[in-house]
Amino acid sequence: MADIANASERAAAGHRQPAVDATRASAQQRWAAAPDRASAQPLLEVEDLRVDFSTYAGVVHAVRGASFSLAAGGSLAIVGESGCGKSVTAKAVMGLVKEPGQIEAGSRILFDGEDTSGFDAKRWQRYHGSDAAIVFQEALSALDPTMRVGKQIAEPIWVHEKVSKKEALARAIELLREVGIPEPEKRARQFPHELSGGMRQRAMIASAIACEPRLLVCDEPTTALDVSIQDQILEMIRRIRDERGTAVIMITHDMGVVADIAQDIAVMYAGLVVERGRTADVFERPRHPYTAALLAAMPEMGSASGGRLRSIPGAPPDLINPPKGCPFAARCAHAMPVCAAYRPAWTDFGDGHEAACWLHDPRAPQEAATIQEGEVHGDGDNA
Amino acid sequence: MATTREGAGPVGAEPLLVAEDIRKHYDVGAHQVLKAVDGVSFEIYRGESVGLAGESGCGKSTCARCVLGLTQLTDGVVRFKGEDIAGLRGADLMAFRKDAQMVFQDPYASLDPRMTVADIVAEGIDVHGLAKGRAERTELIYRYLRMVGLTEEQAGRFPHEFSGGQRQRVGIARAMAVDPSLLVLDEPISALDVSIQAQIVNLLEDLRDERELSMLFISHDLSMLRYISDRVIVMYLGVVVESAATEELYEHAAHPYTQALLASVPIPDPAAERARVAGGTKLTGEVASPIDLPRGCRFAGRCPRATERCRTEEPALREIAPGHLAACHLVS
Repeated sequence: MADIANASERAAAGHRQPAVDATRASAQQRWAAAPDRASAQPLLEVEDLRVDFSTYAGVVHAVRGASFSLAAGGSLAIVGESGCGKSVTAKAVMGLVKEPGQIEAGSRILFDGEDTSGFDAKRWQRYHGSDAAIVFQEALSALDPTMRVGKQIAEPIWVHEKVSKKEALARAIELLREVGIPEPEKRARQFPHELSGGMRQRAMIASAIACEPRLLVCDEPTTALDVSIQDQILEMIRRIRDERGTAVIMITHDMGVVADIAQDIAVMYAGLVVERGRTADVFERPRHPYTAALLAAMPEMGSASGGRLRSIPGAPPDLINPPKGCPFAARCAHAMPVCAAYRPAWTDFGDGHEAACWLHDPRAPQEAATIQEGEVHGDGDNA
Repeated sequence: MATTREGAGPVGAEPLLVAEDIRKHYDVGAHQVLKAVDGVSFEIYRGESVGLAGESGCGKSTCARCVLGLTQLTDGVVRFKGEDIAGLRGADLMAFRKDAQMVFQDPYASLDPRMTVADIVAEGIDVHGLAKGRAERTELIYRYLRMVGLTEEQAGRFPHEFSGGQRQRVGIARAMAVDPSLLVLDEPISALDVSIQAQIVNLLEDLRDERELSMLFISHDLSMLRYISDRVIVMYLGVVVESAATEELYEHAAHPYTQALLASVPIPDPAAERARVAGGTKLTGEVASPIDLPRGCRFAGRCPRATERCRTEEPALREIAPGHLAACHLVS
């Protein structure tokens, strides 16, 4: 362990100042310089990501072309329904796609300008923890059940940074305090099963930010939690983003969570990003019928009961034999013959707001007018 | 949507189901008792849909099991059509089992993977002898599959061939096939995607309106409960803290817990969400253990407005407006 720690420390030489009370200071120092870097290039760039899984039933094309970028210190939500490829995209960004999964040739994931496909084991180790970290939905299965919580958080610190175990543990306790766990000294000595669901999620986030990553990927971190605990966790992630300057990717299916945390949004459907832009723009004027339908399907807290929810008829397509054209065509209330046959090109609506939909093609008939007004919503009835 | 009832149902009508001060305590060893449900009373009228809300561990699922007679009560009475369900035997018990059905949360775990959809739907029909002959049995299966939006061709398939939303439709068809008068739904949509959730909620609304079905809808999703419920009951640590007609509860929540719970739901609108985050009462801390219950109000430890009285004296559930009940010392 010590050898690995030394090796990765040498590799990361000059990157950090390992000291308990320097945590916040070094983060701020580092982030003071961030805007220059951000203007030069985004922290993360994903271009035409494609991920296949070979299964017994055939090859599942889980991600079929996802492109997006994220500035340093920014926040991006990747939204979509189960099976749309959002979690696989997150895993690909983290370099965690394992057999039978395969990132296809031509996909590019650039972290700070560096292509992750060229990473060797040592570089990946440095990447995990000090460059990027991930928080999973199931904290109980992501944490080691046989290791005390404090040690789990301290381990990456003493592996990645040349500090004593005692010092790493002290920093772990400090992190537990920072993520809002009461009596952190006591909790650090406990095992994951002794913590409540919300506290385990906090502990996992503490372990993820232990080495001050520049990117925090959150894969549905609040889906299994109660609304009150979700609210607390979201507040904590916002604080990490704002105070530490950590860029955040939030994978979620909940439009409320998107509105809460993300400046930018990428909407995925059947392995493709179909719309992206600033969250405020996309929510105000969704340009893809799927985004519009998804927003319309959310029950609104502020509105009176009695109305019918706008559901989207049908179900997402099979990704072993994905449709040739627009994947949403079969469920879309505005589909035209061209939609099923050819994949739509991107239309730019300014300020980074783009949608891949044939309705915006200049050759599209009058119906396009409705979606250009951003008024297209899902069908109002059952499948 | 059915007529929204103000408060406790139509005057003079007999409720379909009455829960009177029900308690379910579990002995967890070392002379400790977990009070999952600790004195809950409510009634459900015909054609009424009642929402049961609260955080995990508040006892809402245990309540569901209690009213269906799936677990023995520690204390209290559940009456269905006027009869104490604990005293039901033989044919009466069978009739109750047919009349009160349940839809489970996980459509992946609650359907037998080795049975075809037709056999799953027909199980209740067979047990209760509702079909005379094979032709009628098949006709009934098809009717209920069509009712939930599935096709006859899908009858011979197995659960794994269906998506989550379709499986939940099968679960609903299975429950509806014995023509129940009460449907208890334990988080029926929380495992489903948003667009599919809307499909299931709309289906349930149609069923209720067409068949005068009563529903007990358990969910932690307050925004969805608002759509489906005529009346909402909010539970906290085994007791009811507030109950009112849906609009009354959402517009004039009186209990600090209900208020905070409503304020915790993120709003799918960036500007409104920023406003929500900036203001409003937040729920801090976590639910206390139902083993060592505090002496006074169970919510006092997390309540921003708790007083000395709240910590020593448990508030009783009382009517603060017609049909609107709340258990809080601070509400006048």
